[in-house]
Amino acid sequence: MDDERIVALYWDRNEQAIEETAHKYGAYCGQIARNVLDSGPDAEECVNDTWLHAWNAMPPQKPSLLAVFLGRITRNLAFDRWRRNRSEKRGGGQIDLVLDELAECVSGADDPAHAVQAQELAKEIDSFLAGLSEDKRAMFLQRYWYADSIRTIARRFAMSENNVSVTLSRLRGKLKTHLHERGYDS
Amino acid sequence: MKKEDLFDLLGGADEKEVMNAREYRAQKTRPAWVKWAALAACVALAFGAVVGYPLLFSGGSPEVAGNYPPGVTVVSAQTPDPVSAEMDNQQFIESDAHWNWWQAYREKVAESTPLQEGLNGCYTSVMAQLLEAEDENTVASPLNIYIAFAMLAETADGNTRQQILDLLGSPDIETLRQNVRTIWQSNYVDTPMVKSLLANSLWLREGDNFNEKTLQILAENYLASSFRGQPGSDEMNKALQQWTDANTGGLLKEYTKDLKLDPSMVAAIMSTLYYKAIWSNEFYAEDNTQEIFHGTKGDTDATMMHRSDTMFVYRTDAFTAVSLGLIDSGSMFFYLPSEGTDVNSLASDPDVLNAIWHDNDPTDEGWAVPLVNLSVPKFKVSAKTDLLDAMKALGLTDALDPGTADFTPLREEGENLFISTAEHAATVEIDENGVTGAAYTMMAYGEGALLVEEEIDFVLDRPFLFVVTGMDGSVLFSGIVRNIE
Repeated sequence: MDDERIVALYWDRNEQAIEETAHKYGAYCGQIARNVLDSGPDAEECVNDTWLHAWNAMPPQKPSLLAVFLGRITRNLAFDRWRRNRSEKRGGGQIDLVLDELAECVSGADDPAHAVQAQELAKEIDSFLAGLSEDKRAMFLQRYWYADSIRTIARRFAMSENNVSVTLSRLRGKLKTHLHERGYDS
Repeated sequence: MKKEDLFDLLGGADEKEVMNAREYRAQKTRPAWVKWAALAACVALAFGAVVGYPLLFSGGSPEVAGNYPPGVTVVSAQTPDPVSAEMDNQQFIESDAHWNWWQAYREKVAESTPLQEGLNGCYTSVMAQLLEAEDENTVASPLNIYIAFAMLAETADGNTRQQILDLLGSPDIETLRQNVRTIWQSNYVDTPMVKSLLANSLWLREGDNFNEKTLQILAENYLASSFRGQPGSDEMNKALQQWTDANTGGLLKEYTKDLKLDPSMVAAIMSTLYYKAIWSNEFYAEDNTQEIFHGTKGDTDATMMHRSDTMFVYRTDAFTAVSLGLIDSGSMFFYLPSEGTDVNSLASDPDVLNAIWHDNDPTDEGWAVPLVNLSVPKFKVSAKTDLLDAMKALGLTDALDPGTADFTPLREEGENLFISTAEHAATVEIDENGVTGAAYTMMAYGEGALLVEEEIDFVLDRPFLFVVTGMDGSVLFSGIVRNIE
């Protein structure tokens, strides 16, 4: 079923919307959840929670890209859950590695102004991404949006894992410089 | 800012770009994961003449094909310059030059990939003809044979040409020509990481009146160098061997030393492929063990390389297949027949190439990604095959029969010409770093007289089939290992 019709089902408060969504995007969201959370049951719950959140969000929302809309919900839910879990145990999924990599780009300090700046920062990140070539942008987002493993990315790009790591490392350096130059998080 | 905040922030990235990143994955159906594949193949069609050809083997040490014997006139085709020849693997992979090359290359591969499914029929027929045997190891280069046959079709007309077009799955010669160009573009790679070098040549008898238009088509579309001289002369034979060795990295010398053009030959076509790439994940020599290989001629000792990893595995009733990626290139697939299945039957099993086409496609039921305890023997297989019988079996009967053969596009008195000699030889070797191989096919035109998620163990300790593919899925090499000697 095409996305427009699925969204229409949400707006009609028709529960078939969830069934169709789960059928079409279950694998997509499941992969994101599993990248962030080590535990299969946790990831599954996240995906189920995603459908509930989508149900509550539509209406009023009318996403133009349903996949990313749902994926973003899953990503947020999974990351929240990871934060809750982490006092108990370290994840073991990709997320610990992804965060350690991202730590290179930021000061690590508490930053009360950050909440205020969030909107502007989001724009900066988009402008950073817009400045990358298509391939590098795709690779960056696969790692830091989808939290895909280096191995998975290497396979998709037909590259060695080492090559992917090196490329990502350079991109993180660029992001750090990009944020610094614009006065963020110095 | 904390790293968690950055991760949160990134979640708000432009949704179109997020979608594109995902679709980037969807477009990429061909994985490439190998670390060291070196393969060479060569095909020859015999006309009668000699040509010199500069080949660039930045990594290896084949002889330079520069100076050809006197008495041989050479017109060399222009091949693309190597990419970043001054860099080593690591420098190249980390450089922007790699990114630039990769982006351009990806477009070429995207054009060639859709053609591959149409070639499966031809590839399967060729494999069935060349790989089935009793006790001997067999190996061939389907892509190389495809290109050689395409050149043969350019020189043929009427039903002789039609039979070749039918085998190659092309509706007409123009489509075939365009397809070869496209495939050539996506399989010619000369970077510090991958060598996949294709070369063609024409060997023409001095004094004959060859059709300039056909020679031009072969030069422009197939980048064929041309050599003119006296077939049967030492100079001509030496030049032929020299050119072939240079374009196959010297990997086929055991066969090229006997390559010669008979004095009765009028012309020949020679096509070569040299390939060398690196496993995406190499094997470690310290993990190797000595094991028994249960060959068709009895048990022998084999050095087994091992790796335990999640891998793409494809299963049918007849076989289980595992694929290993090659950096910046295609993959090598290993097919272990099910107990009770004859390895020969895999050579003509269409599922063998279907597996390649569904590689890395998680929606295909045959593929799974379990943890695999892989044991692969280090091996080198070489074989030379008389191609005449195979051509007959493949339906190219007219070309072989002086009564029916029509090679008028090559020479005005082309009705007298027919294919009198054709042979294919190949070798493939794999080790901890990757794969090395070579192959050639020779077809000569004579005149006159007629001649004719789970865990599985994948242990390749008995006869198996293998296939090496280019990034676009072209079948560069295939073979059956029956014995390790």
